[in-house]
Amino acid sequence: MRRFWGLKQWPWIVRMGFIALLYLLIYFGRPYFKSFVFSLAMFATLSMAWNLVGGFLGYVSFGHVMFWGIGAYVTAILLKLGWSLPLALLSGGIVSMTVAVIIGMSTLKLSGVYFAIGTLAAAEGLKILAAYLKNITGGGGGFYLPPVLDLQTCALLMCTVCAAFYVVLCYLSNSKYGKLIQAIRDDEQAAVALGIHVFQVRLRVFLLSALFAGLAGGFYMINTSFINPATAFDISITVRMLVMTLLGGIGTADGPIIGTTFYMIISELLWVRFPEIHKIMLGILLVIMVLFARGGIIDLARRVKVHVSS
Amino acid sequence: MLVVDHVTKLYGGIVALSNVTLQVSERELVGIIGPNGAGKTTLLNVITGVMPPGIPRRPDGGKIFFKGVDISSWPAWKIARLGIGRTFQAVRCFQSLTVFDNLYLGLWIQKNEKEKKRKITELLEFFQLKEIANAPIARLPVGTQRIIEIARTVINEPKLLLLDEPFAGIVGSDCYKIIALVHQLNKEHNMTIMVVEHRLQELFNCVNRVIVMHEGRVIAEGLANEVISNPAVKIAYLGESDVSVGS
Repeated sequence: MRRFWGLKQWPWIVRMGFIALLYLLIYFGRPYFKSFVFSLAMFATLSMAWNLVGGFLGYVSFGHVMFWGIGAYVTAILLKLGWSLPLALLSGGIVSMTVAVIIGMSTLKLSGVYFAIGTLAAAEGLKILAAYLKNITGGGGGFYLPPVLDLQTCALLMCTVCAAFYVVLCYLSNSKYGKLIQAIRDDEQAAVALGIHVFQVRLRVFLLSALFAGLAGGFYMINTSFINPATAFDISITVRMLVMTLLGGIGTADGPIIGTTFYMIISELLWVRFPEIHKIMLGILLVIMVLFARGGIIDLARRVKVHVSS
Repeated sequence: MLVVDHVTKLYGGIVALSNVTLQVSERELVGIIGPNGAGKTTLLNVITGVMPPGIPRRPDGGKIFFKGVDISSWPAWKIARLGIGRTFQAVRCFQSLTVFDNLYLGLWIQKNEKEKKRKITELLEFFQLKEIANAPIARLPVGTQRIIEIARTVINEPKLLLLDEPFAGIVGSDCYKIIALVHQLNKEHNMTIMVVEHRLQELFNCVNRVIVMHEGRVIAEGLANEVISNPAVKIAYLGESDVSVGS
């Protein structure tokens, strides 16, 4: 019994408690909280997706929003064609994965800044394509979809997808395959010299990331009932994924969720108290975080713990 | 077993290897020596296909055959799976992982989990690494990391083992351990081994035949004493003065 309640169990109790709190807010909270939890779960999913590529693989993507945008468009188009909701959502994720194969095949052979530029160019290209294909996407005017689900159900499903992705990431980071990914990030050439097909591993991780980003896009579409190219491929959403991951702790399973929660709560509080200058204050806060806690909140907590125990 | 046939490799405009031809027979122990910039590491890079980022893996001229198969244009991972293992000049262990995980990844391409565990346990005992099996690599001294890197490469029992300066950063009994390992791998596991090294005493204790490289070319080859007394080698590698083995 004492062993069960040992310190090792606490992180899991906190995690379970956090998920339970989100579900309670969805069930019993006011619409504002339901909407807040939906956004939190969606951005946490996106940050985790970005972290898989940026943190686990060490490939900084500046175009990750494209998978979210593709998921949103595909789900919307298929729903309008009369497909069932689960099938349309799943197809959104699968089409995102398919596009990720095409983009990954060419960009994952690049490294560093070239990969960043490659993904950014792909997202911008898709934005133009979405605006051009008026008959399918509605063009620059956007795509409207009649409401399919109520906010509560939508938030509940998004939260479940987010939790599932988190479990996958936890499993991955502690599994042998996770060690392989870490090894490739540490030293690609040493991994290749051991007979490891590095590109194949990278592509698989990229596809998993695109799948969940695509699913998040589908839920966004169902929740808002509208999407246009400027939103679907907006670089500021990629930047938000990156910032939220960095805030929490890049390359960790918990980091994106902690970072997203911290970012969204602080952002909301600042917006309520200082509606005109809240973005400036948020920017200053982020600069302070980057200067004094480069490893994110997780690393900061670790350092504080070491300091206290010594 | 290995045939390097008139291989040339350019780094931009610099000739790293110029028309290099050599052969290594099965179960042979070969040493490669030469001054800095002679092309020793480039030769290992060309054979294994593991090139520094941004440099094409294919040789710019010539061909490389391993067991009769032309591997000149093969990707590095495929060459490794064919049975060519290598270590690097600067130690390249996976820094964020433990000793055990590093060895485990050395066996990644094998499927049998039981066999993997048996091999890791055997190697941990041989190198007396059992006590630090779960220690993160980053906290270990460079000498220990070097031994782990070698262990990670040999654990998969490659047919041809290429060691790039295995004695760098290693002192005392660890040197003898590596020498003993090289002989053991060669005799008991029939491994063919090529060693690039600057420390001649240790190298000559390891190998039977020595190849001398200078400015991207092979300038001499033969037994250690023959090579050392070769005038071209004295000029290129050892300087004008006479240097005896082991000094």
